[in-house]
Amino acid sequence: MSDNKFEKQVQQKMDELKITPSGGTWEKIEAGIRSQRRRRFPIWLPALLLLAVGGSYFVYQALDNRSGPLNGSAVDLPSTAGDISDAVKESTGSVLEPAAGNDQAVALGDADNKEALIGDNLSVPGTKTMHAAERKGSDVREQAPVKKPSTDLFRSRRSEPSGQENNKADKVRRPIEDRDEQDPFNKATPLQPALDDTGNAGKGLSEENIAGIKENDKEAGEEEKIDAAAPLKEGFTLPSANEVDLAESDEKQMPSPMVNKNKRAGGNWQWGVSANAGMAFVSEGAGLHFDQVVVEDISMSAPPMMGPSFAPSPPSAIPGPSFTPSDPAAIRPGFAFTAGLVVKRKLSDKIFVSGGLSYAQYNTRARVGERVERSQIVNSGVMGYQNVGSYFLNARTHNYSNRYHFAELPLALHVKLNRSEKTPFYVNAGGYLGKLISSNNLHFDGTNAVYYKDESFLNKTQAGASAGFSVVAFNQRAASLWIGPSLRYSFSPLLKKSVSGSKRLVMPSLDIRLFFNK
Amino acid sequence: MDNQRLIKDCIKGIPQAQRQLYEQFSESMLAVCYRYTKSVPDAEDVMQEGFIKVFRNIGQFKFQGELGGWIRRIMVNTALNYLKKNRNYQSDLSFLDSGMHPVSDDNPEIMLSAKDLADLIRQLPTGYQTIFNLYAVEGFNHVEIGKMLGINEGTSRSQYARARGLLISWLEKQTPERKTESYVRQ
Repeated sequence: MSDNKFEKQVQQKMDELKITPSGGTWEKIEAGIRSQRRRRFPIWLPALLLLAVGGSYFVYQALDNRSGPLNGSAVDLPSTAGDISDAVKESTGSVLEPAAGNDQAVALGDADNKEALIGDNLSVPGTKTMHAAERKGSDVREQAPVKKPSTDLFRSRRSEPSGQENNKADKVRRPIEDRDEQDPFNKATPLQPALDDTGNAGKGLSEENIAGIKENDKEAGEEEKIDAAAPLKEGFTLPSANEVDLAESDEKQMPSPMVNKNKRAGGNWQWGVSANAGMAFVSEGAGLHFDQVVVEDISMSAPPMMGPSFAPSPPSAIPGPSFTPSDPAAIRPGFAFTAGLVVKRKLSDKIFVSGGLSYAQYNTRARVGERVERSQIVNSGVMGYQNVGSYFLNARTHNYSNRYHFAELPLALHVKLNRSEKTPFYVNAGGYLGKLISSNNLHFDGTNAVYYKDESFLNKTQAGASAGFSVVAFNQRAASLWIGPSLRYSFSPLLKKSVSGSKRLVMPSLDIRLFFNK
Repeated sequence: MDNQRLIKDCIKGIPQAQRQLYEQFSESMLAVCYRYTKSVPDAEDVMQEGFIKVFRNIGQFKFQGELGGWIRRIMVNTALNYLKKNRNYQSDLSFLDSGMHPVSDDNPEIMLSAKDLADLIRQLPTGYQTIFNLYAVEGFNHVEIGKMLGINEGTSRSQYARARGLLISWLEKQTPERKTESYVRQ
């Protein structure tokens, strides 16, 4: 700035100058602001709702499991006409006879039925379940009908050898008193051996087994948490009857209470690989706002009015790329993926935690002009002026892909929403910490209307959150496949706060994890 | 409402705050734009574009200085881009380095009003006008101006000297004092 008196006079005069804008100027500006205002459609809302619904379902399930036996609303009902007939006969004290052609009777007499009872929830909605306290001394046959598996269920599981089944602890859906060997029901009907005390087909049960069960009935007070929906695996040894909490199983409308192999292996780490594939968006602002997001004009980040410059002289006298559009290009979404190793640990029957190490690549696209291999002084705002070896013109002629390479440490919590062991359904929530490895990100200099690369403007450490759902396939095989949608949102700004704190990376994707079962 | 609160409200996109900010700075910013252009409608166009940028980027204001200075900087940048884009100014916005530039030691007293002086500056050729504004009014040095306009520092110096000389000659036509001017090689 000149120290001359003339310049000072001019500056003083010009500072005094004020010109009133014509009417309607503000309206035009306002219209411009409104037209460029990003549509703030809360696209995070569906995800939030989904999470809320999932969480509510989980909480409801948990509460339902606790309050179920107390509310007395559940009533065991026979599932078939044959069941109804049986129940009527039971309630009248008459001898129960199998109806001709009634598959149910066959099922009851078949030891294979046990497995059907084990693996599936046979509790029919509305089935009355007696509380343990109520059962004491009561005639169970008058209170609770025998639950039997459906015929289809039974038929589908006939292949298992009966000898093995005899060793299996069975699901108990009936009160303990039902197992009284003096029970006329058990003695008088041909179906008696078909239905053991645990509500399973008792044909294959030896007297020793029955005696053992009775013995264990006395120990029914001991509590043991059991994974009711545990799958039967080859080589799986069913627990003895004393591992079955009979009272518990009666009180809860849970499927067969079984000791799960996973229970024994609970707490072990499980290794796997993970991959994510989706789209990378750049969101501007605190939420998810993708519209009108443009390449950052770094020159805007400078403090008001530049002071004396200490930058070196321009290396060339070649004028900058003039007469080009001054508005920066829009940032468009691009492909993104992550890949890495992951470990998972079981915290409880329904909750897992996982962590790992992965590589992530986010791509976003912008339309820019031709690349010019020439040195150019660019206005980097708060970073001052700098000389770049090449730059891109501000045109819309070429596609440019901004790539961000990260090493990430993801951590997630997985909460199981259903009871199925075959195809469990999880809601996932967690976070990640990422370290930028490299990037070819372009920045915009609005003063010279050029794009240029500078990695130093980027926020090297990124922390974010992720949420999603997973359905698990092949859960009972050597490797279980977790697959489902997920959303990753970076809390850290993409650029340094001194440059711009408003842009963030967002990645909706398909999350795939392969865990190797031990 | 203090500026800090005003800025926060503008960041939130509250229309009343935006309107208030506009009213607070529109007159002075239009004057800035007026100095860089040749007509009031052009100046208003620049100011409109500038204010839209202000509201779009106000989240980047770091409270490190005066809000007015930050807005003014945006207006200047917008004006420069406008000159580069607009055909009416392109032909006149050439910066040729003659190698010779006038050096004037004159510091005449400016008797004109601010508006008249601004009108006088606007009568300069666009290149002169731009550099004169950047140097004499905004306070940039020639290195900075060279970088902003993509020209050599010497070119900026030369152009400014010519602009200054021309302006002083116009000013002295209105006064009996005689100007002194000499030419030196750059």
